[in-house]
Amino acid sequence: MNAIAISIFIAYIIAVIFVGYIGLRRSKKSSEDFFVAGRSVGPLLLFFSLAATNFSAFFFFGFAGAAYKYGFGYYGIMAIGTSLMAITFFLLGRRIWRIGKGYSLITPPELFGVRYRDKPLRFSILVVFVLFTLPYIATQAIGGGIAIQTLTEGAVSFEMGAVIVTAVIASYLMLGGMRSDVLTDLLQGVMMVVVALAAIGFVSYGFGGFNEANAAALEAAPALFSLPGGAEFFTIQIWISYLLLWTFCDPLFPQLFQRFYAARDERAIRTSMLAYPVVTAALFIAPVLIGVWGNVDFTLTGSEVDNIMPLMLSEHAPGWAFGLVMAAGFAALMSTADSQLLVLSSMLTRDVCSFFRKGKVTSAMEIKTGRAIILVLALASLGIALSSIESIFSMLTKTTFTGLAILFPATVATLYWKKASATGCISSILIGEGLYALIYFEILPSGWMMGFIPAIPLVLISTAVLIVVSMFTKKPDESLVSEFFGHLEKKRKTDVEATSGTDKPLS
Amino acid sequence: MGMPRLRPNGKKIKAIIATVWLIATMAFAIFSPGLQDHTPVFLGLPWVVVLSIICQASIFGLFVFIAKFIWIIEEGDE
Repeated sequence: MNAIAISIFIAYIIAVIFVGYIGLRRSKKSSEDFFVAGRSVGPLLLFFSLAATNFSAFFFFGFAGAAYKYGFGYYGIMAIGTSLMAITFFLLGRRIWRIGKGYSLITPPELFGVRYRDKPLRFSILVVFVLFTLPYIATQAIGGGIAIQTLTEGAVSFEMGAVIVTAVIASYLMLGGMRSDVLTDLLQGVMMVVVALAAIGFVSYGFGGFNEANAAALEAAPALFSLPGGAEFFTIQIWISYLLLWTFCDPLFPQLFQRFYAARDERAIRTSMLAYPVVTAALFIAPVLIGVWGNVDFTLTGSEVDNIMPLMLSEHAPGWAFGLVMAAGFAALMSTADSQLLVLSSMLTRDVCSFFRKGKVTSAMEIKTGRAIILVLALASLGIALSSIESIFSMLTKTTFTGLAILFPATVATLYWKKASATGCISSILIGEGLYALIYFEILPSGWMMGFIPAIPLVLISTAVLIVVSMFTKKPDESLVSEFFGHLEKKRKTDVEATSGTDKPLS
Repeated sequence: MGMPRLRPNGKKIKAIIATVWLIATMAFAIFSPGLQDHTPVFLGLPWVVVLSIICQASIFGLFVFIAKFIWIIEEGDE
């Protein structure tokens, strides 16, 4: 076993739990504090939290693997697409923050609840969020189990690895909720940036220089250096689809959506928007370069390509660097899984337990319920990871991006269109998701999509359905609409006023 | 009755500039002929990477424009 690599990994786990404990020390006894950090997350923490939550284990493993297969074009779709996505921080995040502050909202479905006061819509949104988020947590437990097994060369089994990852995440989340979550996101985000850039240095040094590495890769696989790329993957339709996909689906990941509520003020969201293109430009090049350069040293097929990052580091970097990358991969994995666990816990606590409970619901009750649900969800995801029903959830994970993108028209209409109706939103979601199921199971032929990925035509169809149905169905109560849009239109407080509350800011 | 407004107000002009900026950036990202050229351009990196970085710089410029002229927090709602 690589003792240095394992030591680095253990040190990282201890650091994460310690940072989670700091979150507990800074937290207050309110459900608003537990689930959205008392709306006190400043610009630096918000940016790192959004980025670390957004970039999952795929960043270290799947991203490099895709670049190995398809080439530098993958940098284009991921970097441009993700940069462009940050425009939704302005178009959606700003309004979500205002509404969240105005109504003291904590969960994404609550926003639809206060706009329409329509239970079926609120629960439709809840079901879509839960259905496409829970399997992802199980995926992270599976990834963690495999990584620990690899790191220890089999001394720790896959099952025990999955238990360790799940236990660590559940521990710090149950301690401090969102405060622990965003603080660990900072640690995990910094680690991802440092390790990704260091990995380029190690591997290019192994090739004798940056230019030399690229020259060797060009000779080995010239198709990877332009479009349509390896396996002629990047048709014009696929290129356009992926440039747009992240804009439609990323802000609808409930764990990202909820972070808009947690912002201290609009300035924090605006700073995150400005930082996103800068960081993606610098950061995303690392896995792409290493994936493309991997064609010089290795011939991999199938799912083996996702191992290209650790393989290249074991080939070109010192032993301890391998441990560092595995720990950074863990950081990416944990920073996504913890946020998903927390947002699911908040939704099941507020949109189900508190909603249906008769009598007064106190903050203390919600925190207790939230912690219990975190534990139950962690155990459930572990059960999925270790059981044979994993394949069903694997299918759901593959469909997550499109499944959530279908919520985009309903979200935009809710925030911008006063004539949008609850029936219009539900119809748009049901028809969109229904059509996607028909396409996924190949009941509906895919020729009509003209080579685009399903998310693009389905977002257009869902938009059309929403508009048409809203025009012919009962509008929401005028006073509800006025109250909702009143929160958007009234003058905002300055930063000084916004931070003058009693909550201790996280900046 | 006042004279009909012949010129769009400042908010509309800013929105039009931002929209045109966004469309031009995306058109550049989609239709640049360099995307099909595998010749190394800078440090051995191909056009597709260089063009992607130019697009991201343009998107960053757009966000700076939005932050400076449209999303003005100090003055309240834009």
